[in-house]
Amino acid sequence: MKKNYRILHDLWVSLVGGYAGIPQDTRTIFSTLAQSDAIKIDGLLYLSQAHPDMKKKSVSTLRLDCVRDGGSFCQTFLDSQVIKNVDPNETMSARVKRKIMHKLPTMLKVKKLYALLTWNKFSLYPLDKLYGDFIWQQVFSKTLDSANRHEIVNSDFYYSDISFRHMQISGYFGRDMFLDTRGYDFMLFPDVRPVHVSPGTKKIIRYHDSFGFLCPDFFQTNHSKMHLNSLKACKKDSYFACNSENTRQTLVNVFPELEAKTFVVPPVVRPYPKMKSWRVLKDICLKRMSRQLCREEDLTQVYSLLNQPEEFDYILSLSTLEPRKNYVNLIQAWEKLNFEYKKNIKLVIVANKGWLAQDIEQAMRPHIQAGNIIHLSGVSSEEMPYIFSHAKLFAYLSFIEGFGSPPLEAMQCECPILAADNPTHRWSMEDAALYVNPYDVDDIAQSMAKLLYQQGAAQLSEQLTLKALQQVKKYSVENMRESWLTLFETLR
Amino acid sequence: MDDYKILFDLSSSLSQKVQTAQYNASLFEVLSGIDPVKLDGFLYSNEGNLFSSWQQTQNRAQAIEQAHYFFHEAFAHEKFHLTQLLSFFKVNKLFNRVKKNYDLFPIDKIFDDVVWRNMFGKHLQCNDRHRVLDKKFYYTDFTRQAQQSVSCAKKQSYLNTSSYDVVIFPHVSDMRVSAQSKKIICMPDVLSDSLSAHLLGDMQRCHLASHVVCHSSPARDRLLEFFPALETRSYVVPPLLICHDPISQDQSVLNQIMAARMSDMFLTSSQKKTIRDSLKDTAQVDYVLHVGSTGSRKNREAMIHAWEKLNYQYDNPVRLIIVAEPDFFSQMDHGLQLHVKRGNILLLTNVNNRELPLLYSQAKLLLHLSLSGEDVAGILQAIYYQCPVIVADTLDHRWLLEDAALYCDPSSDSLLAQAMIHLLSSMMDRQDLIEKGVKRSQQFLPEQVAKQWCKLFQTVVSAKCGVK
Repeated sequence: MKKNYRILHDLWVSLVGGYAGIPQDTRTIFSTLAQSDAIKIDGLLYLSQAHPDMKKKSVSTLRLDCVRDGGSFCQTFLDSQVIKNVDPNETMSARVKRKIMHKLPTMLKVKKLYALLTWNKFSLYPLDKLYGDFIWQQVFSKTLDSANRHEIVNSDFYYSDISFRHMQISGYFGRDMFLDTRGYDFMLFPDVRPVHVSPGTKKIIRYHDSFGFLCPDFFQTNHSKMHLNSLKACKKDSYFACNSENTRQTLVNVFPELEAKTFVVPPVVRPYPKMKSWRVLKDICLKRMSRQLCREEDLTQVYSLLNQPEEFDYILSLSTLEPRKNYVNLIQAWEKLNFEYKKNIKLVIVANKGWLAQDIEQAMRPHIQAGNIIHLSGVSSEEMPYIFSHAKLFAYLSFIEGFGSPPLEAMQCECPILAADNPTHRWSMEDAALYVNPYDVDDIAQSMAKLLYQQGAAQLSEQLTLKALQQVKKYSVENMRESWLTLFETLR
Repeated sequence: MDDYKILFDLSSSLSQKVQTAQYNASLFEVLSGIDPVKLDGFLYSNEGNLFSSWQQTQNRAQAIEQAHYFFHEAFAHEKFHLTQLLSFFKVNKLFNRVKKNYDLFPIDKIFDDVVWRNMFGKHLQCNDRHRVLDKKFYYTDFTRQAQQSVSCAKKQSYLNTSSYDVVIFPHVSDMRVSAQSKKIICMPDVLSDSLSAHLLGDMQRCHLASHVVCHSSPARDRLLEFFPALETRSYVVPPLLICHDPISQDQSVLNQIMAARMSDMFLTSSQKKTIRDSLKDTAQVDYVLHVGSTGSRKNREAMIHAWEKLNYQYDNPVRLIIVAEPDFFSQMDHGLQLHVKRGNILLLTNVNNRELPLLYSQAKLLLHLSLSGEDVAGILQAIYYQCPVIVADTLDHRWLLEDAALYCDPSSDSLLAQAMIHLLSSMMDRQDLIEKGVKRSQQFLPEQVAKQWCKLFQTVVSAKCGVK
């Protein structure tokens, strides 16, 4: 069957990312478009760091060469993922030796630096089907169901000698870099990537959010600076597929010249069935208990809670521990709720430790030690439905969001949603959530009580749940595919 | 009455010193409510980036980008290595810029949330947000580092404030303002720990071109001993009482707050658990409160010794609760470890503004033995929330509190212990002190202090220029 559109999709973020929003969105877009008869989508992988041995003279047609070079690419990636543990009983001489060996590659970085500064034209090299398992495991398995595996491994994948570091250099210093995308109608990037594509290819950037430049207080590094520079570099030759109307509005608000180049394509919300079993839930909690903030001996109270046969009520929140997610106010509001109503409802936080999280850690740690906050990390997609389904409410109080998938995921498990009142949430959830001022602890605590303890709480929860089940249908795979196809049609 | 256009330096709100930031944010909020005042705020960062060079622009995207870079530098949590390597160039650049006239650049409204979160959100109540964000905010390429290089080079820099009648610096700053504007410095005590030699040097240079506000009459007298020329340009405006709605009045809530805010300092997990359990089982905790800040004149050792004596002599055990930032405890004598491990002294950190009123109102008394007269926010809050206070007998405290406190010589443990026992056992004197405290605290309420600032603006604006 003839495919109408040939698309190349940059999957780097899914290769290196875990359960965060952007990697998950990238995986679902690839899977959704791969299922369309009208689209032939190929995946593009590359490394985070420039690797001097990656540069090739020409693309080989011999399968043996492809297998060998593809294997080298996969191995280089896997090597970069190994965390080297340090033996606490290490002797001084062993330590010195290790340090020298550790420094050696840095010394050899001259070659790497040379590569970074001289390469500016990058090619695509086919990744042999032999590496289908590698691709499934490393790129897609964290998000997609195994039923999708077949269509994924049957897609074509390429790797490139370009690296994320090259993109950063391009972003910082405005150096032009070119990726050879001949033969493709569209090149789809999961983020702002200042790379030029071949003349016949249209570059589409999946634009997730503007807080890279609107909220410099939420970032630790020069990430925000790079975001802004890259955005400026991409303005001329890119189209922007924003994940929500508010994201698009914010972008156009700052760069009005992008009005005609920005579109809204909402993401897919993965289907989560309602799953109830206290035995399984407690098992998941015990298995995924995080040690990122506390030592093992600080968790005794949580262990004793989870090992008791009794059930307990809890409020749930899910997102990375970083200042934008507003955990400090969430915890203060939850404390206030418990002060006032004395029901000792627990708080379950599913989150990996992010950046600038000292205040959040300080707020969480005493409650973890007291067994009132259960901190989980590394929870898989199969396990989340149990955690959603038993929660009394799901609190999502980010100061600013691009789209905010977690509350929509929780909606499917009939968990009432308490969300920060920001334009994005209003757009994505409409009246299927109870909105609060994320800066106002009293408002958050009162709204929690409204959903949990006050007169009419059960009816309110039920109303929200019913609306939520309708609302979440808008973010189906079919709708998303339709939106993408419309976009491709418009741009062609 | 004429409108006054006032510019307020908010840069200290970007600093890590919570108390200073809170006071300045609150003062800004109070001044923003004065009717004839049109208040704007401005910011500058600690360090300038080597690559930053701001320009006035009419292009909104460029203005946003520039403001973004300003914030990026102001919040720089992780320095760009190359910048550090090139610090030689940075210093060179700073020295070459000391004569520069600095401009004010408007901060786009798109950054309102950033301004609120970082300057005000932690210190003010949510319903103040609209009033505060209604104001205009500016940033400037002047930096704290540039100020230091100005001081070293003994040169001057000028901020273009021509459209303002008054510019308020809540700290000593050698920055000159436009001829049309009057400069007000809120002066810390000349004996203050925060007033370092170079700041005194700055004061020496700029005092002829400034009006100076002191927080008490004795502080002003001391200032005049150093700078007699300020006789006609120095004023007293009492400190502002920062009040917040208490989170609750319930004793059981207080115990939960104590359990949740207990510092990890000196305690193992099991010791913490034991103390937490004991708090859970206790209906009412009797305690003496100290709200601490670091500094050499705070008499913390005297406070601990006096409290120990109190417990030797008084029949009922009374705990000592110290509320402070974590760095306060790291400087404490390790001799108090035993008390902390036994749970007799509770060290609390990260207590928020809504929880402090509850701690004050349930405390048996507040102990404040600092010889410094400027760190008084805690005392004012204590008397407002009906907590009797024992303070060090200093001129500043006497001026501030009049008969609303018990005064003690902080060098005498025995006298301090006796004063505490007296307050704990004599209900009548205690009640009398509480009533006087509540009455006295009314003088420092925002509306009272705002009136004084308003009078000050009238005086300063109508003052003859004479100031260069």
